[in-house]
Amino acid sequence: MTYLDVFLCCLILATIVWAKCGLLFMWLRTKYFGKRKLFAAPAGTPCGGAIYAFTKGMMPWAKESVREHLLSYALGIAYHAGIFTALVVLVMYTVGSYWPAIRNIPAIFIYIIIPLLLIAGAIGGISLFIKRLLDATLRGISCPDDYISNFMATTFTALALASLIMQRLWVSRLWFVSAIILFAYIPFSKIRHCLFFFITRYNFGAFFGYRGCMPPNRDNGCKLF
Amino acid sequence: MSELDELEVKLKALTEAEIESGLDVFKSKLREAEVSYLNSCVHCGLCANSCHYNRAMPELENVPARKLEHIVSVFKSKFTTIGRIAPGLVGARPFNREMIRAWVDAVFGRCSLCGRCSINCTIGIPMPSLFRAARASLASMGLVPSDLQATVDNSLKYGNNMAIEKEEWVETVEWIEEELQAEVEDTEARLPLDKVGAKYLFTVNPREAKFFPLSLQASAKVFWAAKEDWTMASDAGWDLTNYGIFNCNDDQAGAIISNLTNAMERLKCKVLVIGECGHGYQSARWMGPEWLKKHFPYPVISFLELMYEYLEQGRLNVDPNKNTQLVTLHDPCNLVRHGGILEPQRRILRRVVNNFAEMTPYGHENYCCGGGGGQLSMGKYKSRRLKAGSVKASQISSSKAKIVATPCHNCVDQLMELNKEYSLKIQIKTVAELVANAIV
Repeated sequence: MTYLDVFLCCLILATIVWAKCGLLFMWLRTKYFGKRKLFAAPAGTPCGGAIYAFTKGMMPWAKESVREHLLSYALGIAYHAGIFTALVVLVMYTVGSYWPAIRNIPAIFIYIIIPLLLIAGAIGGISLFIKRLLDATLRGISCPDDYISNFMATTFTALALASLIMQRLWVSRLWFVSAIILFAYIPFSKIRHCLFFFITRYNFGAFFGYRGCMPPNRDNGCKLF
Repeated sequence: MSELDELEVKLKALTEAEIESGLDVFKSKLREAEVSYLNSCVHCGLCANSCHYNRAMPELENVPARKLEHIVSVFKSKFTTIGRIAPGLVGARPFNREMIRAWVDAVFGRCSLCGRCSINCTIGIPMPSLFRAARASLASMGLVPSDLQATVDNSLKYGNNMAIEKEEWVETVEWIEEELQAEVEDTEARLPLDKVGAKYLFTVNPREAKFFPLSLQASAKVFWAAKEDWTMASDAGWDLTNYGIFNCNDDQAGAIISNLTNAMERLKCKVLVIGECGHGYQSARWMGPEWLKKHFPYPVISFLELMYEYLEQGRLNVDPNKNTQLVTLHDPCNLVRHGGILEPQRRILRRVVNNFAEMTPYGHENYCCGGGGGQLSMGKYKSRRLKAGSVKASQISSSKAKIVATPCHNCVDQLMELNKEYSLKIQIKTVAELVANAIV
């Protein structure tokens, strides 16, 4: 590793810490608003609702919005899988030389599964970017951050793929730079949903779980008293 | 003066201090959960067609994410660092008259608070909770549409939303009692008023007293057949409706729900029974304790649960052959998606009619009829409401049913208008009416 690479790795680490602190700050700000105390007698359990929200409630067949937009759903899944794979590859590239276990990853992952996931991620990201550009409704609900966030995450994923395939130092350095920009941007962008998705989904499930609306099943409202 | 002009006059008269105070009210309605919702929308747009407004009238302002964005943009502008530093980047916009106008249009004019967008949201943002916060803010600035506010004012003044005087209510009950006695040929059949210590305090929608006495008679027949110990209040405390849930003024909603809790205390009943009404059930069962910030020391149940219990316990003898036409069921959003009462109504119908078909989709995925969220009382949005109801009209047509059962009087009203508007040639009945008809 050259001094430049070490410097880039340090910057990556620093921006990861920055992103985490930013998200932590935002989370603490939401905590500042306090929890709502509930007085109505529960009809179900928040936990049961939350479990449903994160499992069956996320299945494609559970939501009409997904059933009617299966391609967008698939592209979204591919996009997120690609981003997470790129993050894993980034760890391999940056700390891999100090982490012997990483060298023992089966070849099928290195040469087939990881590249396929990255390709899928890049295709997903580009497709959703184009969809946002072309679809009037999506354009109408979008702000510049929607395009920038997508562009950054897609670039990060595509460069991870390029680094893996081309094995060129300059490509990897370019990728590291894209990672630095991406991580630095996270607290300002909609990418914060990497945290708030989980908080919102939990609250959503807990709210409807408490009321006995989730999970929807044949006993909702049929408990005799 | 037209309603639109009225809004413009009110907007013009707003002072900066009132606008700031409206924003404070909005903030006061937010808790940890709501703030996380405001941070979560990724503008994927998949919610668009889950809204009956957008399905019937595809346009940007009808997309749930767009309605939400009006609110999120203000939140970003006032309560986030990036929104203050780079508003253009994240779509943060100031809370000014133009934005307030957009809020009124979005949360009063294009939303029935049905919550269908929530269950279809990729993230799971319960949008009605945020729209309610926005309505509360608008209410604090006096921007609730005047006819919706008039309905709330009626409840506050008369103890019911149709301004029915006590004498008129008591006379109506006595008349229905006579009708019931004639129908069941039993002079002991009663619609008891103010019976202290009765097991159940039954509450009704004032529309039953005013326009649909057969609904109340049907409920009374069910109680009579089950030999139940029940009563209604003669004074404030018989009306289950609470349009405070729609103008989102929690103080007014709390005052209205107090009519029911005071009647429970006065009459020393053991269970509060909410008649067939979606928002009435959500108000009393779920929101009431929150408005009053106290636990209710008695169960609050839907009349559907009670009728189901009677059938389960064999306390009602019914013959489904008394209801031979094809019946379908419209699920009120407040009762099903927000209330958790999903099954009793369909189990009841399967026992009391011999030809029952579900709509597609149904249950918690069912479409709003368009009458929720206070829409029925907001004349200025009537044409949108009827157009948005075309989705429900189409569902009904596809079911081929001759009778649409729905356990909600607001839904009944909207379905009756849809019946006329779209020439559906159907009958609309409450569940109790079908049960009562099947009693042998």
